[in-house]
Amino acid sequence: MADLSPNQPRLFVANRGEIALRVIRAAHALGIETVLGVSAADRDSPAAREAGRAVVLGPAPSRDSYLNMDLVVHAAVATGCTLLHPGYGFLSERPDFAELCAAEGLTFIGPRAETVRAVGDKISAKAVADAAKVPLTPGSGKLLSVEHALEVAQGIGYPVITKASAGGGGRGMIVARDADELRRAFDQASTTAREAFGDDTLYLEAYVERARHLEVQLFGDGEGRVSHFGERDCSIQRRYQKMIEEAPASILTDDLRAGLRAAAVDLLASINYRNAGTVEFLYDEVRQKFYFMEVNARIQVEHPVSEQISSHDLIKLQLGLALGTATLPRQDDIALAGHAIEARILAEDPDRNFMPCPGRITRWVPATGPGVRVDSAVQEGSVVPPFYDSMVAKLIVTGADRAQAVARLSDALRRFKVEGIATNIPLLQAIVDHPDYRANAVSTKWLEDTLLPAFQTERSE
Amino acid sequence: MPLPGAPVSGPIVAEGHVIVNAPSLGTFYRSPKPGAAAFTQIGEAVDADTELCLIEVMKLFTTLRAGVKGKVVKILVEDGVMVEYDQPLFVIDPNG
Repeated sequence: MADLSPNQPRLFVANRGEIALRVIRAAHALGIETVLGVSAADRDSPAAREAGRAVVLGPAPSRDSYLNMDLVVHAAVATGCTLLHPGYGFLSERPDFAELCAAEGLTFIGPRAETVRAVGDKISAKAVADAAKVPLTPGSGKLLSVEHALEVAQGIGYPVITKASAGGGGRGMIVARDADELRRAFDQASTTAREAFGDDTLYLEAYVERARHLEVQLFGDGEGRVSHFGERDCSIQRRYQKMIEEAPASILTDDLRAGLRAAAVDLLASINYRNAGTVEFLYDEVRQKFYFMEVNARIQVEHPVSEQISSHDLIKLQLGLALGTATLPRQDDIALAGHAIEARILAEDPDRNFMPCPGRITRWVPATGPGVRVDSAVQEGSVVPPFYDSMVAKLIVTGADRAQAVARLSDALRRFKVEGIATNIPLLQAIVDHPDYRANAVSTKWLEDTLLPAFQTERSE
Repeated sequence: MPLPGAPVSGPIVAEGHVIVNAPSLGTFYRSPKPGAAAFTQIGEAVDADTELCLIEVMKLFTTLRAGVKGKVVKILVEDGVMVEYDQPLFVIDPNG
């Protein structure tokens, strides 16, 4: 377009909601112009208003707008953009999308397409981890049949869990405690995987009874140098969806912490990883061992807790590295201090089986105060559309230590007022005020197995 | 940091006139190929199935038809620019 300024970096933001707004603000702070691709449902969103320009990609459903690669790339090129930030979700981990961007001359802010491909498939990701000598959960390669699964399970020892090779989000994951259960689980998981991913390939792993979800935030320079920004504990989950994340992981001993971080750095260094990434681990609290789970080849929802303890703006770093205006900080220049916790505020009603609650927000008073940060893209009068993820805000608190951060989170949740839509704030409050959470004595199943039954009983009385 | 190029506020349309909107985001072409005559001009009569323009998304061309019988009274977009989903492109007077 002739009326656009030449040689000025211009960024296309291929996402919506809080991450779109976060990326737009970071770009503007660096003097980068922005264009946001929106669906018709988001044309009046705060992110659309703050972007240099918003272009309507298509109608509300994601497949006709945010997930349509051709529309997104066409819009980016036609508006004179030179860079593209995919955010998280949507097209962020599609290697064919990264390739399409490159083919059209757009700098994709993330790893190379071949990296996204290598770590996107779970079996191939495990091969990468294994080659880098990162510990794996005892498990199998591709399962060829039920008989094969039974034989493998015999070797691993029960309980075992089925996983879909192409999968994620918990679909195709079934725990089996004996051979009979495994026969049933195999059939059911194959069907689920075929329906969800168009690929029914399964593998098997040892099932850890008391697991924590730990992950390390990393950045690579694309040439083999990788720095970490500490680890996070994301064990408060419901149906494999994270609800509360914190940094650092307080349960680790110094030795384990150093080992976990080094394993993650080694893994990404071995593939000359570029830009932001996370390596996720399952931590077996009983055996005090960590096992590789997966690589997330993108910025994650919970990146703010790592920013809070490292004092680095990770989105600005993503942009700076992609533009060549920033260099990857050396590990010695990344000082980690304090404790940060993020709680995801969702438009879901915990009293009605977490039913999504889209609608108009009639009152929006986010918490403020020392150590409190809110990342969101809604305000009073905003409509939460029914088409997308239910997350409306991230409440992030920082303290000198975990106890102070927990106290601040509890206070902040009490002061966070939302009306017009139901949210999970009452549940978050119950979690944060529970003695198990205060004592950091939780696992990835704690929310579903311990807290929720008590919470639901109490609320129905 | 507002950038130029965004469509300005919606066109003022006389009562009874019909607006034909972009069915998709894409590049707007008034003729079937470079140098060829435009599909239509202001003042020309159209039928429901008269071709008005092409919308191109990553080399894939979609034909947009008038959808109504009448006369073209306004063409709101320049040839070769990117249009957004649902952006008004043509105004047709069904009684023209």
